[in-house]
Amino acid sequence: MLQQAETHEEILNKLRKIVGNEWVSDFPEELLLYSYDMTEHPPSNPDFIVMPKSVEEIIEVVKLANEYKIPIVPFVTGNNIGGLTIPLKGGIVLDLKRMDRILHLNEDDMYIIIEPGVTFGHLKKFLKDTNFRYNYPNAPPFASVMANALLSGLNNLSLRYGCMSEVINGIEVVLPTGELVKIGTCMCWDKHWWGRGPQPDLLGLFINWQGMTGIVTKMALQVWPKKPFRDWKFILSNDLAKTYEIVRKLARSDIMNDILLMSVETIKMVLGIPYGQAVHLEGEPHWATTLDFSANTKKEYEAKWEFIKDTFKELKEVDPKAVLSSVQGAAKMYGQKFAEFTNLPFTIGSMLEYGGCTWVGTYMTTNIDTIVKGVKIAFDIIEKHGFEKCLYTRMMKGGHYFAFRFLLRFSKEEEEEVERMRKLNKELFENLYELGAFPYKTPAWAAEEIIKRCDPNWVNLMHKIKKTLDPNGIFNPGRWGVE
Amino acid sequence: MSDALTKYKEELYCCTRCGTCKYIYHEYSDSCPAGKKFRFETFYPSGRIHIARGLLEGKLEWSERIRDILFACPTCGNCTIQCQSRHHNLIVDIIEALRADAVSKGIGPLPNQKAFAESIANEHNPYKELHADRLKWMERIEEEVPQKEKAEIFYFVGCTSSYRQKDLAQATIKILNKLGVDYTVSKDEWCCGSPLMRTGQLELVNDLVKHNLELIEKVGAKKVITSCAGCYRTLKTDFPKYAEMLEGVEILHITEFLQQMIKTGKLRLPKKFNALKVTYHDPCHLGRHSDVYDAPRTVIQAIPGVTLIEMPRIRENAWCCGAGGGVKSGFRDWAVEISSERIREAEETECEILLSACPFCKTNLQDAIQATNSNLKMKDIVNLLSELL
Repeated sequence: MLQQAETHEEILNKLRKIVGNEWVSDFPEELLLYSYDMTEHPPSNPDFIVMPKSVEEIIEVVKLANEYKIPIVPFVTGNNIGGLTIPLKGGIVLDLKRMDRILHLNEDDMYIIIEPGVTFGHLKKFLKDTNFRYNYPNAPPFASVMANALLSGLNNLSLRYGCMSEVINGIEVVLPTGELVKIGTCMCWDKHWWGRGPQPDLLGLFINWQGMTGIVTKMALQVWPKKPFRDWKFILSNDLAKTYEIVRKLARSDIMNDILLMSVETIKMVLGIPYGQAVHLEGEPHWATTLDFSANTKKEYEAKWEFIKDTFKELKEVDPKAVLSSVQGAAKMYGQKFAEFTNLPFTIGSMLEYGGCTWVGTYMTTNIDTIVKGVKIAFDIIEKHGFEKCLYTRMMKGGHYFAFRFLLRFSKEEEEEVERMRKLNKELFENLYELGAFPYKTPAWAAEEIIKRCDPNWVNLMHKIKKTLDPNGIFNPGRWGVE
Repeated sequence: MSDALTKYKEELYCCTRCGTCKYIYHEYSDSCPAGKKFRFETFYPSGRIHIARGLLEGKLEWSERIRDILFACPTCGNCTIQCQSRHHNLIVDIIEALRADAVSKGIGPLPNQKAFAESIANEHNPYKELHADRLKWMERIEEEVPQKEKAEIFYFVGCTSSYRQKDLAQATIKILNKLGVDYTVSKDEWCCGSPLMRTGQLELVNDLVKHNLELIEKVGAKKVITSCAGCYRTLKTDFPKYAEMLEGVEILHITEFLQQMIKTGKLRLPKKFNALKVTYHDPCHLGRHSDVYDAPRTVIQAIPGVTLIEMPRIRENAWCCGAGGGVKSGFRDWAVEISSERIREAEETECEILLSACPFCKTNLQDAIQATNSNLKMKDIVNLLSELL
């Protein structure tokens, strides 16, 4: 506990007055559940869980936290895989799931305005009967859309648009000092959230800061027209360098929605192969690539499909056993679970059913030699630590950068295994960082390592900004080396 | 930690709290009544599993709050459908094991639930009624109710139909008589044990199971029919956990039996209704717990002049009525809050009648109809059918 018992009671009563008795808890069971997530990151207990319903309540909670100088950590579902909602210094976990409205769909400028508790599942349902689409992760449907965007997550239109922070038009945010600020064109007009505008772009003060600089209460995100034709293809191959070469060519062609390149171990895991058994067997192809594309007309679809087939021929010349099929065809061969790739978001049950799930997820260069080298180094490290080589990679933003990560399942029952996973992730980070790979949704330990290695002036600037915005240091302390 | 929970130790470590259990998978409507109401992570199925872990690892101690979290769950089992992990089928079993632990520690059950255990011990029913009055529902009906020593079919009436929803028992009798089948009821029937199993009060369960099985054996029945979804689930799914089942005895819900009768042409229904629109609520104990979805629909659709209009959340994804798992006795207002949501959903179909196949659902949905001033009429399928005969 951060406070003396009397102070604790005082804060508790004040929180109850702000949000109502039933929306505050300091019961041990809630404190325990909000102290850890599915990752290997060590637990840390909060002092209170608070569930506000309105912006006004958040502002009052923030003022109270300043009065008592207690930390605040925003939370929606805690599925970020970076341990980012674990309250490293205790304090208030602000569970925002009651603020779950989709406030507006602007069909002219193609954006939605949402609250923090809106999940991918709810957004998909909302957009179902409209002419617009958002994009979704290969992840459980009930992760926060807003958190995913603020933390630069990647979805199945990331090849077109980049990571999700790049599709934010604007936000409304409660600052650590309690002011409510609008960023983007909405700073001028309540009804115009069409972009970040030509004014100084202050959005960077909040993206990837992991709640250290503000609690975002509204966000405008771009949506895009649905296309009448959409299809998925699937490649199995053995030659990694050549596969990446054609993946990059397709990414640069500007005709694809999404390209995922995975190890066959990942596919096996998705299909339900039990933990520890998702291994490559002799004679099997090593790599699996899914291709997602869409078109406005049949003619456009056929032209794109022709281009894909022609590009695949280049792979086939070098890798004669490579196969190109439809995802539906692959689903017939490998099981219907495979077809889930066409119906995102989806829960990879077999990834999430051993109590622990983690990754070192990074963004890096698209240089093929670097990627191939990274895969080899990472596979050796993973093998050394006794885990599965479930690689999951994606070309980003037309091939401007690359998402390189592993989907690592593990058992949380045994502390030895959890510790082994910590060592693995640290070793992966150290080696991949040397290749220019930067971890997104950066865990606290990785952020500290980066700070040791990066431009010290950047670190100073970050500290200055943090100090200016959050003079009492109450917003998610312990992140990015800031106490 | 009791043996009951230790049995599930491995499954407790399956859950990553990914959240998939919270909503209908790929459809995204609410699925968990307690989670929707209370919203803290602890009140979702995954939260309860992690509470179990906390108790197992000694990170949590039993408290009345933990008891309330566990007993606020109607054990509807919707989470067992939505969860995509390998432990999904066991979530309700884990919650019930936790409840059994709460009871063994003296922390559970809730006071009202304790009272019905006492009533079952004394009078073999949870309603504090005299056992001697079990067949009082037979009074003031014109139908003859057989009480034979031997019969092909044993109609297991159940406590709710015997003491609270007597018209269901009476309607069932009317139909069985019309069919002319060889059946009997018994004054010696005891509570099936469902209220005790659902609330972790297991002390009497073996006796109840043994007694009822002996009764059925004595009658020599080849079929046991229930008109209560709770009794059906208990006889079919739970009894085998406690005793060796009687060989060659088939347990049927009345809707399954009627489906057979309709399909074989033994039950012909006259046309009485004219363009009557109905919707159907899947009882959790019949649907998710026992996988019976088609039989009630077949029966409804066989009634001339009746049109079945489905609600958005049906079959595996049906929203619970809120009465089950001891919630009706433990948290009366909360139970009606859950069923009120179902009433609103039923109203959207613009039907006149909401049908179900469980007296417990009927009670709670009827309570919600009153609470929400709804114009819907609540009926059991059997009651609707008996109006035709």
